[in-house]
Amino acid sequence: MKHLLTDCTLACLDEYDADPGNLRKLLLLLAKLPLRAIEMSTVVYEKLQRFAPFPPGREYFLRIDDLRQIKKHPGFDGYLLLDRSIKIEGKSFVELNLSGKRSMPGIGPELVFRRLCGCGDLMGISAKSCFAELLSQQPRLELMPEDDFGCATALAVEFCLMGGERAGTAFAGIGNHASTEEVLLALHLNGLMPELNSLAQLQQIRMVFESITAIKISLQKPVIGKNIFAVEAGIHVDGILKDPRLYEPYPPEFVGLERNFVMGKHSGRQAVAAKLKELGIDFPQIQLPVLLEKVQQKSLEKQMSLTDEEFFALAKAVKV
Amino acid sequence: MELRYIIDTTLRDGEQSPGFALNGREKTMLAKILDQSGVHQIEGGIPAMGKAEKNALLEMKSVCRQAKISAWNRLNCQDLFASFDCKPDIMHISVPVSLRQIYDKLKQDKAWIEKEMLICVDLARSKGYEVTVGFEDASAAEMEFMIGLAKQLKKMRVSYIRFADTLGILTPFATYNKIKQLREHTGMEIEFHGHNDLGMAVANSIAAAQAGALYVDVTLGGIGERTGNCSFAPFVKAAEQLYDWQLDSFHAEAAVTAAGNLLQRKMPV
Repeated sequence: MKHLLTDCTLACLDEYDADPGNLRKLLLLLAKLPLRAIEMSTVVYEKLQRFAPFPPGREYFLRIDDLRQIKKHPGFDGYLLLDRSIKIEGKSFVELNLSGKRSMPGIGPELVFRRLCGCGDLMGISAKSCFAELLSQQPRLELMPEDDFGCATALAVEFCLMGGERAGTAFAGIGNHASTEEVLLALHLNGLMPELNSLAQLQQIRMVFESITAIKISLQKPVIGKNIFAVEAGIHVDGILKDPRLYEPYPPEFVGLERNFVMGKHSGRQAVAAKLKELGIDFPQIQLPVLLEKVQQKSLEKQMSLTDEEFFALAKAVKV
Repeated sequence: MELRYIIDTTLRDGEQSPGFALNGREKTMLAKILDQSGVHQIEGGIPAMGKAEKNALLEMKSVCRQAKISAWNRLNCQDLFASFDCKPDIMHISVPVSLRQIYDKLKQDKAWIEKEMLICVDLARSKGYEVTVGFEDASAAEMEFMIGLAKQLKKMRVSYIRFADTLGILTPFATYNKIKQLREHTGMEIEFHGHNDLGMAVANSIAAAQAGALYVDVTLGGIGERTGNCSFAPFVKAAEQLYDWQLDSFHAEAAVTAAGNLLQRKMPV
């Protein structure tokens, strides 16, 4: 399987006073994702050092701000150093050079690839000509788009789909980056990495990430939000019962989540029946239309959807 | 800058997402601020759902000064009859167009879809309504089938076609190509409706506008099915550099804030 992404989550956690044990957990989980490389900051590396060697099969990069740090922290597959700011097609980039460990004495480290950061202002179709030009000049370029205008994930994905071999991302998009989980899934759904059969560990990563950063990931966050497979609308529940692929872009289990029918104002009769089944409630005589009416009434009173307990109470009251 | 139009569907696609239910008063309040913020159209709800929803639409229509209020309908005449009671400015009819929607969900075929679509559009047009048609699951549909339907809709003076990326699976370049193709082969104006399943709703909506889509659908706070729709504030932040969306930034901000406050109270934690 071709791995394209450099995940830089571990280079974006300096401001959180992360516990080394948690960082190690995060590293081990990240290393199980189909990534090409894992990048970390010197601050994080100093906490992780004691757990070396790191899991095999991934490249490890250290982000540095001074060439002397290469000597201080030997052993990485590469070191990323800010080089200069440049403009390409009127868009601002910051260029970082990744230097390999095969440094030549007296000459300095050998250049492995160039990374371009930024380009958050590159939007929609205008990225196409820009990427084409970049890739024709430097096929081994890495793009690490920023999310200034909510387009970073799309930029990273399109760059890879156009043949780019390296893109830089971070979990949940921390540090204004493209989200690793979104880019991985999008590449898979677009035919790159077809062998990928599960990203279920994303939920464990989310939990460790939340405990390190105290950031609460939104329930609707693409790919990793806990509620993204909850469904209430009657028309959608109806479709999902016929074939989940009608209203789910990929199976919930693929990303470690479960489908969940929510009872509320927009529920339909099918949904009520499905919810009874989901909760293992078997009231053979129950009048579904009556229960549905109670559900809708209650959710309007409450101004939100019902909890499973509330639904159960209504079902009990209606069962005759 | 070229003119483009925002269609807000917070009160229809947004509200139908799990987690909360807005009452009539809240819907009217949001509609009023959306109207002041300059959105072109407010998709107000689904009259077929019943009396409360119908009243909410009537109420919205009475408080909005410039925004057009639209009513959402499934592909059947009963839904339209319910909507007639609300006297919306626009009658929107949703037409499933992907093979899986037609054959697996509706258990029908393409000929049936075409026939039903013509009956429903004709009914709404005969009552004098402006009609828009939504191609549901358009991103997975055959382009030729959509082009064929669109050509007939053009003859029936349907105003524009909504291209719905119902499952949020498109990328910007793919969005651009599809919208461009549909427009060029039919001469119909396009409305793009994006979902955020892969975190690309904003980028896709911008690409759609670049391909010539005149209308873009958003929701306040990005609420909507699963991961939600294209979110109003981030979309405008990005897209206002490219086109004139005719918004009043003060009121647009107020709308986003008001919706944020409402959502915070209602969302399950």
